[in-house]
Amino acid sequence: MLPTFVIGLREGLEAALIVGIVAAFLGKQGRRDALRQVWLGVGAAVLLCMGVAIALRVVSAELPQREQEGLETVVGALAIVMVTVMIFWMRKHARGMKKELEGAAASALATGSASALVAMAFLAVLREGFETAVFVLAVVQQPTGGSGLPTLGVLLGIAIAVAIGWGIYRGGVKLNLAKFFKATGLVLVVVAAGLVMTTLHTAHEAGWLNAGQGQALDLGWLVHPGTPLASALTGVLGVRASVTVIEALGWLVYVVVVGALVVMPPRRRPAPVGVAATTRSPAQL
Amino acid sequence: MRAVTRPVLAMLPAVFAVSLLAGACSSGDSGSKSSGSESGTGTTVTVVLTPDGCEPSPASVQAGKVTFEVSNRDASAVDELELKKDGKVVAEKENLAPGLSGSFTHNLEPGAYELECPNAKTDEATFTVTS
Repeated sequence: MLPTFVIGLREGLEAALIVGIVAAFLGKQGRRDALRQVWLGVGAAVLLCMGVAIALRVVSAELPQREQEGLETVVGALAIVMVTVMIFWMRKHARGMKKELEGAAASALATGSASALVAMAFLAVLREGFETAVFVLAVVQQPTGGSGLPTLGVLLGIAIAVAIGWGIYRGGVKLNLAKFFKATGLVLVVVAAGLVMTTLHTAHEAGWLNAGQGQALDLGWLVHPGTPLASALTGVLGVRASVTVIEALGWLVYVVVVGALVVMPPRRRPAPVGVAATTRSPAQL
Repeated sequence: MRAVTRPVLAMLPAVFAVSLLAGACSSGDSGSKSSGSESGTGTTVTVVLTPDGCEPSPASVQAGKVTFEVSNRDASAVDELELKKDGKVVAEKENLAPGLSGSFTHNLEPGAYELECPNAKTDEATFTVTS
């Protein structure tokens, strides 16, 4: 049960994390319309992935792994861009929070941005979905199975990942604005840096990147492969038992450059103290 | 509100089409690479993932279409097998939990290859393709 649980959790988290972030961000903006699109997009992606997995099963074909890694790389790169833009958007608007965010429509994200976020959530599910759906089917139809425990394991893993994604969304929406911006800035830098590592990893597996594949770090003491903790670390922070030179470099460059820009005091004048923690009108939530 | 929603709605089908294409593309590719039943035209190599490693059997084959039948017997920490040449991933199979099996087929040129199973005790095995 544990091995299938661990894979379900890892694949699920990689998707749920991005969807959770997107949903929290839109929720924070009071964009109920866009949020609804997010849920629809996620549902559509899940159905699409299940459909493809079933079709592959019917014609007894394997998922083309190389193309799958390519898809993961492209969507991963898009996600890095999205989270980075989000970080800077929030940094910029955190200062002008009073007039820009509390004033209802004026604060609204440009429509194009909201659509991009909706598309991102959809793609994030596709990115892990094909692979996960194929895996679930393989587990369910496992000839040696019988006990049903592996099936329970993978479904439980995915369920917990979804619950964590939902938690990110609800938690993000519940935090007051000042805390939301403060907490998410640096957290998002680390999450995006994790995406950089994951994307460099999948790029290698897609056969696109072969530089710097020597081992830079052995994190075997922290990430015990096959355990739920390892799944969480890989799924959320992109950390693996063995980190290659290029992955370590990518992580460092991202954290140092973007992290420094986030920590650096912005040039805009700060918002007056005391207004930051005000709540939004119910209509916006 | 409506005005805001409409562009979002309009965008979804486009995204959907792209993804469908991706999906179709994937299944199309797998058709040409599909394995198992039609292995008569090529060579089949069996690899069993264990906590100790991933030794191929046989360890040397002739160039051409090679199908790798991979199964994970009891290696809970190992869940993938990669076929590499000069450090470059040629083909792979992922998410093989213990008890699961899968396969991948690839046209192999002569040369020295490595089979890698991350997190096994010996995570690399040599594999040779002769002309």
